[in-house]
Amino acid sequence: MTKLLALTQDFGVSRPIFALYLNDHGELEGSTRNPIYKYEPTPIEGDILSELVCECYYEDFDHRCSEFVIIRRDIASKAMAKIRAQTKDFVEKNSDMKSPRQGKLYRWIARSMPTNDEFNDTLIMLYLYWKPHTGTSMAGLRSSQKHIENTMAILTAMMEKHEQ
Amino acid sequence: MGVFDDKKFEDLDWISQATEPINSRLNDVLQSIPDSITIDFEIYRRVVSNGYDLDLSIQKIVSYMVEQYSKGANLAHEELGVVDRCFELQITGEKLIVNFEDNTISGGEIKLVKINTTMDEKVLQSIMGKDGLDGLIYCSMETDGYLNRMNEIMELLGKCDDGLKSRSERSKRRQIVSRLHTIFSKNEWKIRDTELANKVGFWVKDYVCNGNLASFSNFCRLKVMTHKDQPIYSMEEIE
Repeated sequence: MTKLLALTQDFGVSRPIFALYLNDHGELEGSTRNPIYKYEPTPIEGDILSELVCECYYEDFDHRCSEFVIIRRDIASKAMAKIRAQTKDFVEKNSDMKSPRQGKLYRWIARSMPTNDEFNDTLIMLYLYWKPHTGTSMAGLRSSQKHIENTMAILTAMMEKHEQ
Repeated sequence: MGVFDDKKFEDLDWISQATEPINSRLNDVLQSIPDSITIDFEIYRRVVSNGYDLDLSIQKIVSYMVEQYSKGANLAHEELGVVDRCFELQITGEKLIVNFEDNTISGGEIKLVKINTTMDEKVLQSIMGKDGLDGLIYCSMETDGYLNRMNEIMELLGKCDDGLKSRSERSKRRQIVSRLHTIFSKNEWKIRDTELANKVGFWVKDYVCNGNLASFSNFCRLKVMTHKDQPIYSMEEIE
């Protein structure tokens, strides 16, 4: 998670300036989701981790201190959850089984994969290895057979190690 | 002064005795709030600080104003809803911008304006006793003998045959609430004070749920007073 957390360090927040609109009931409406000067994080070009973390950017308006706040740890956790989910999808789409969800590896990832920081760091490294060679489409996922086979083998080895 | 005398009614002037207006603390609350209030940034910030959004509704502002100008009024939800209807928001300017950096509202002005200076009698009649009845609907019956106590209340209320015949606690409770609701909405007991009407529900609840005899005594006194067929504004209560 250290890598993900590091990527959140430069994140800023939106300015707490909002437009109020009169609705049909004669009341004023304002949304904390739409400040006039909204902050949009810019990912580092070509860095898939940075893109992922930027996708997970979330800010909240704190009424007590009247400003936007971000919780970096939450953003990093959200990005980590996405990596885990994508790893699970990767296994489902690249398994040789007829019902990949019934497979041992898929079930381990879905139910018993460890969640500690050390393991997460390994999963991030593995994600960086397989992600650039896959796409979101089924065809893309099958584009680099060598990377797919290696990733599946590494995940299986990780599972066997943790099962012991 | 006798036990069943209505001191408030006797103190009313002749015209009030003749017209029998409904007495309500909501009128005092309404009068305590100024006729026109400019909503500046500080008021806006305080009003929206308890919510999740930045919406400025009449309900939110009026609720805040009641807290500011009638401390301790502790209005029920229904009562606040009635006070809301006496105000409107007047907004000038095309585009209002609220800036939490500079603590300003620019581009126009927001005003809360009172459009009614007194409560409508029909509106007050519609919320008569409602707060007390809500308490009765949601109370839990934990002490022994509550079914008997419910029967006693129903006998005093009258026209509760279905509830008296039933063995179900829920049916009896429903019957009491429904009967009291009819009494208030049709003004059968001629109660002309919203707080006194609310107390009826609380007394019934206190007696049925906890067996509080003082509450039962108050309820009986009020019932006796209704036999005079005169408007009831107040009664001597036992604490």
